[in-house]
Amino acid sequence: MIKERDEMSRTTIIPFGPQHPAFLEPLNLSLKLSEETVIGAEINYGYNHRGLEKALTSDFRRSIYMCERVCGICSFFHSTAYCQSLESLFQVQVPERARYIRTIMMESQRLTSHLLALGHTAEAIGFESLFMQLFRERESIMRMVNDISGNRVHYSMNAIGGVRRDISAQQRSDIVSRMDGLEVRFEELAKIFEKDPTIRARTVGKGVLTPEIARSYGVVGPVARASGIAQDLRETYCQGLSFRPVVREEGDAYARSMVRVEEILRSIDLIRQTASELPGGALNIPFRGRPTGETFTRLEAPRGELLYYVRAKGTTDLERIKIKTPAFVNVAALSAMVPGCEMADIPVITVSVDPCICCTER
Amino acid sequence: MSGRSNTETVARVAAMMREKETRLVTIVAADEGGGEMELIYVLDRDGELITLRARGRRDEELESLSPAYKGAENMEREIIDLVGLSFHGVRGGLFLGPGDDPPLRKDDKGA
Amino acid sequence: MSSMFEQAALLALWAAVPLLVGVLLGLDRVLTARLQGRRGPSVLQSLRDLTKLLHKKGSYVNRSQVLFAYGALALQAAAALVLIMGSDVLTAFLLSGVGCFLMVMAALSVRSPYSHLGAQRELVQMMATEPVVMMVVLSLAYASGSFLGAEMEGMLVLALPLAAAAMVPVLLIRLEKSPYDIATAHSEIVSGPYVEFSGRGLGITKLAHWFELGVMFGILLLFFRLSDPALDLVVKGLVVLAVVLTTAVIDNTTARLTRWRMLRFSLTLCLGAVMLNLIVLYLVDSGVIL
Repeated sequence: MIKERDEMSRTTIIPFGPQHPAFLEPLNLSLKLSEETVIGAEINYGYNHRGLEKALTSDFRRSIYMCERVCGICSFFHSTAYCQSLESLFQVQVPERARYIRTIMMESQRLTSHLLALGHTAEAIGFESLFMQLFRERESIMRMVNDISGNRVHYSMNAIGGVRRDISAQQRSDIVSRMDGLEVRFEELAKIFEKDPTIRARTVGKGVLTPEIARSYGVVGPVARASGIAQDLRETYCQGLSFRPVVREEGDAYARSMVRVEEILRSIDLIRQTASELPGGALNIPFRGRPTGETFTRLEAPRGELLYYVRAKGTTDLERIKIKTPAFVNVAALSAMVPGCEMADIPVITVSVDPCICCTER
Repeated sequence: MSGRSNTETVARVAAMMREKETRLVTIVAADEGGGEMELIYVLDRDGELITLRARGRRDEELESLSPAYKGAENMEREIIDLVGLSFHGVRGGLFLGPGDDPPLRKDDKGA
Repeated sequence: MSSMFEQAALLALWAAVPLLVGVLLGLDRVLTARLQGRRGPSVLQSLRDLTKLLHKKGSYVNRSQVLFAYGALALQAAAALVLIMGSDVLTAFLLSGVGCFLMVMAALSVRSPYSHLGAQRELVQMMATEPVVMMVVLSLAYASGSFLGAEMEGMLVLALPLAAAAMVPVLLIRLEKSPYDIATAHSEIVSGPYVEFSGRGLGITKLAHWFELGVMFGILLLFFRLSDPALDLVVKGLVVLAVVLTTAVIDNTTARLTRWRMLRFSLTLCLGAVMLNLIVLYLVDSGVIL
């Protein structure tokens, strides 16, 4: 009986992407559909490969500018990881004020990234007004970072040895009051994600990633934490600020969205705490000479673990830079989440993984 | 099966993953010059980074970790594209089209 | 009976249907924008978009695609004419249905996977709305004693409140609004059945869709008929505005659901509501109750 049904329904191969309204970046999912059920999927990359690992080796000073441009939505994390790698090679200790300023900017970028991911999820399921409201909240964060750094996307605030710009006392109190306002408004939107029946109907049980499959792909970030894997690198480096990862067990698109919702609220707390406790001191420390040796640096970017491997041999050009981005492992896990779902669920599942193709392909 | 330059390292990585919860973070491939490549398998166990190194030659076929660990497949495909190594049972073509020269090789003219 | 002047006025009204529907859709866009915290375009924007499309050359995959689109336009316009002239409402509804089906044929006549998916979704949409509207027309005919629109006098909504209410979800589906904007779910199947149309062809499909909306609104307005022409116009205008406001609010407070949920909702709740209303009316008329 089942075999007859399979023979009667036609299978079509649909190209989802690289140009598709649901995707912000070019990614091709070649889907094999039987009516509207996905029976097979193949992920094709390569539409956004820019050869940055080679370009970043040419001059270690120019690379501070260029590494930010690996990705737009986690640019400051790339810049910080790169600068931390070189600080490790030069063996300089960054002043405390600079570390706090870096934390404030990183958590602010985490807010913009998660708000974008949530807004995009709402848009993918056709809830446009929620998407507009989330982006309005995101706009207030963009204005805040613009006031501090002069830019909305690529902050250009890092230097090897510290930061380039200071946060004034006026800006500090502005940060705290903005976080207070955002917290109140965002809690309303969080309730919608949690309770709205149409959102739940479109996200609960979709794109389930079991812990075993999650481990076999090595997924990181909110995708891993939504499948019960409690790993968040901020536990290791946010000293003095007590931090516990947000973990959920269901592993579906709803769990991933809820993990991001919780992380937004925790980041708001972190920013407020860091801004109020900002210590005095220098902004950066000078370095001399050319870098030598090799080092690994890890940070918890919005999508997960970001790793920079830098090898230098005492000249201005670096021998090797390897960037391991979280989206690289998370997007690969899509091929395990997608078979068996309906075609209408593909945008939700893909967006819930928060694919950053420019990070994946560099 | 055995006899490839990185077989022992791959077996150790797979064993480490089986005995305790260990995540493969990435595989770094660096060209050392003279046709020699270094492979660094970077693992995360309990929040600590562990590195295992192997060497390979450009013209030989290396052992693949992807049968034991699905996430290694794309990492090895990227190495095939960018550095020009080959892994047993893994095809390239992740980012680059067929016939493109591997850009991260040392003797590349475009340095 | 109708004089030459009346006939001419009705013909002018029919020719004005695209203008009226265009302004209505523009109003809907402004309302949606304000609900989302934006300013929105002007009320005439939909009309400007349509005229721009009709002036463009566009390209097409094959000629049958264009032929079907023109066929759909002709049938929808004919259905609107039949309705406005006060003639047989059932004929108007059935003509409109065939027009929708021709649009589906246009989508199926190109070898594009998104177009086929959109055509299948459009068919599911038709399955969800046609039975409900058929029963609404039958209940109108039962309550007024005739299938002719000109003979449907009085405020039939007082006898058939559930049937009129059941038209609102139908209009929600036909206006392509959340939670049931299934066939043109742009984040899923790009433009659905319209994906292989561009330029003038796309303008023709839009025009056909507008005439279809005219037919649907026309059937809804048959429930509201007052003898005083000025008051009649005001009441009809208010009803249309109320529907547009309701659909805009529902659109902005829900995500998109699946086509099977739409079908279930429509064929159980909406169809059930109309049939319940019809049964109650029959029982009241034959003196069994009340």
